[in-house]
Amino acid sequence: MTRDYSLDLARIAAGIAAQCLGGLPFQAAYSPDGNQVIMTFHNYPLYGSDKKGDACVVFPRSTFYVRRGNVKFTPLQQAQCRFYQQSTGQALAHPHIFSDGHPCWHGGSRERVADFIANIVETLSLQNVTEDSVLVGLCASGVMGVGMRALENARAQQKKLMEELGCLPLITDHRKLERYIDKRWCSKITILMKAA
Amino acid sequence: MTRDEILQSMKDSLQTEVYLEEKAVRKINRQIYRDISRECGGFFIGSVAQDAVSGRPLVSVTDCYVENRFGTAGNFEFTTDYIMNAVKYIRRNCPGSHLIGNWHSHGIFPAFWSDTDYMMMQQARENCFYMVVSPSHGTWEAVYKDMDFHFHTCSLRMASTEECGQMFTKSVACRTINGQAGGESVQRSDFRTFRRYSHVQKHELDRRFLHSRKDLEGKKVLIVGAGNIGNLVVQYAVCSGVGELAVVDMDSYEYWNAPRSAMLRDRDLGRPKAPALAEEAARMSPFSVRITGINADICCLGWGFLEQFDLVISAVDSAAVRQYIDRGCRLFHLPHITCGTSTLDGDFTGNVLYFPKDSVVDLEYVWGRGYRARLQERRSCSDLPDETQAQVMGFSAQIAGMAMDVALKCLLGRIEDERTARKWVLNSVGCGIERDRRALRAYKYGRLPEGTSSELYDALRDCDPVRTLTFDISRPKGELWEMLRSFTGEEIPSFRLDLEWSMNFPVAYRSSGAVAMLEVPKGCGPDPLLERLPFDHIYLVQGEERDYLVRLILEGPQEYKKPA
Repeated sequence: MTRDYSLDLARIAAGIAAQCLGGLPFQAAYSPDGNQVIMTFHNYPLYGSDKKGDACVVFPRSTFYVRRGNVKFTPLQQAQCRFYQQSTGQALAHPHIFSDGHPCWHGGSRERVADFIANIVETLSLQNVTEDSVLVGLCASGVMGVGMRALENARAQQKKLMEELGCLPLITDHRKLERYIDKRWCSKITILMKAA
Repeated sequence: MTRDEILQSMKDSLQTEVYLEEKAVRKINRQIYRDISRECGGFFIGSVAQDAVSGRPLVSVTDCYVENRFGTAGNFEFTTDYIMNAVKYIRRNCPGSHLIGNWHSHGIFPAFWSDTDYMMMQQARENCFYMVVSPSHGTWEAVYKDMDFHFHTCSLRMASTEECGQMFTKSVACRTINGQAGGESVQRSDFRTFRRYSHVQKHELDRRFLHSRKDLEGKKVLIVGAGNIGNLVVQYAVCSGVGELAVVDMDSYEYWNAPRSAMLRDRDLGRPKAPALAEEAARMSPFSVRITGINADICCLGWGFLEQFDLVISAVDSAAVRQYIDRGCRLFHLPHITCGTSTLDGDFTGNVLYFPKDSVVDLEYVWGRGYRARLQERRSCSDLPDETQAQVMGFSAQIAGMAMDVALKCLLGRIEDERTARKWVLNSVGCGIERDRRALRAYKYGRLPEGTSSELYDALRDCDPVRTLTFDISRPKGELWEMLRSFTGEEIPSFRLDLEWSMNFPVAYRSSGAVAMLEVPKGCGPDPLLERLPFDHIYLVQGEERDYLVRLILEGPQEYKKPA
């Protein structure tokens, strides 16, 4: 039986994202039907309470895989990547988490692994909530309110996340974040494949 | 009785069956549209009975007495002399019938019961049937009042006499099945027309059509799309004597389709297009024929559905669906004809593409590289520019005629070359009456040029012949992994079913949880996503070393019904 690299690669991606978010404990597993990967980040500060809980990122299992010795990444649509908190089905507190084609997704699809992981980091830390994305994009899940109210609540939560998690300062700069992730990803998969 | 008491009485009472002869309705229509700004009225002639078992009142309206009388914009009075004239008319022309009620129009207002109407209904202690119609709104209300002043709601039906002439020479049997396919509900209606001719008629018909009918009797043709061209192709196929037809369409017949639906009638409004078209075709067929109308998305039925046909004709507006059908036909070695219309420089253009069963090219090649970017394209006749709409029907008839011509040649075995695909491009006649040389152009595709890559032909070249697997969806998905492992010989953690290659659009694109790959991992439990896959479809399965073409036939519990 060949090794199941999909989960290894998802774990590497989750590890890099967790590192950017200040070293959150994390785990990655398959969904019961085997079609999705569920990344779970523990001790995530929940919106509207002092408690901490789990934040989940669910995306297709075929996003990462290895075939004939090559690491493959399948770019995915925004709708294919879902964010939840505490349990699957409960949307993460974020103003436009399920809005397809929103500016926070940078062009509607993810072409590279670094884009995808950067988006996870930016979404969980609410870095991709800007005045434009809420007011011009006119997207609001309603979880944090609508319009300016959503923006105010998102900024408060963003500040709380940065303080409580101890996120890396570079996550505020998209380019730096992508470069950082790219380097980490390349070195980690090289180690993984060499070990194989 | 007050208005509320009457309404309550209607709620509690049995519904009345009312049968209206066309003759009576025609008379009403003629009168109300003479002047829609003023009210008018007339009398119903017929009989009233009661169902002995259910007690339900039955009203039969056989005729109508109408005089050219008009009231004001808001009032019409049934005068004594009008009533007496109606009685005299019945005595002279309708012996055995009675005056059973009246109707009046509401001019520019919608059809509703006014206080004056309620008062009028309570004046006579008789069984009466009343109607109010609105010519400006096209609406109507009907109520039946019995002797005991019980008011009943009415169910109106037309007692048509149009087919009496052929009452004992033709019969159309129908069977409808509802079920599911690809997670969507599907309605399938089978119509069987039996025609019986006298010896003399049969002799005459055989003299003209026996040859083609004999050759076409056992042929089975699938027509995808019941729009403008679909209607015409079905009509031509039925009249040509094709023995068995199936029509698939996912839309319903709406009033805006009427100008471009040659076969459909007003009675079909609101019905799913495919079963309605199948029924109309079965009714008009001069030969004994079997026609099936399936209200479904063809992509939900799977490629396996195509296998039973001798020829597939796709006349759909969606580029993605045409591509889907073509790939399925190539995999099952079926001839495929696809046709459509468009505009070019403000005038009409259309094309007919014919792919024989062993075509060396597919639609992807004919459309050119980058066809994926065009998958969202729709070329519906209704999307053509407004100023060309008047020409749509006439031009589409030319395209449909060409498509049927090719189809018949294919079915009758008159196209010997079974490898060369052909395309005909027809442009509308210009300002002159005669066509110029460029009006009809023909293209041949006899070989796939060196270095041309094609997703389909690459897969067919690299993969073994298609293998068939049957899987019960209520079983754990891990068992499907076991099947794939034993068939491929590869021991890998997960096989991937490439839904995008298989053009499984409903699952791959139309759902919010869009997936392009379906994972089949080892030791996994049941997967509800499998219910959204077609019952019988071919997938490109990714293993570790190579790809495999697998025909997956899904089975399930009783409620997982297969209508197709």
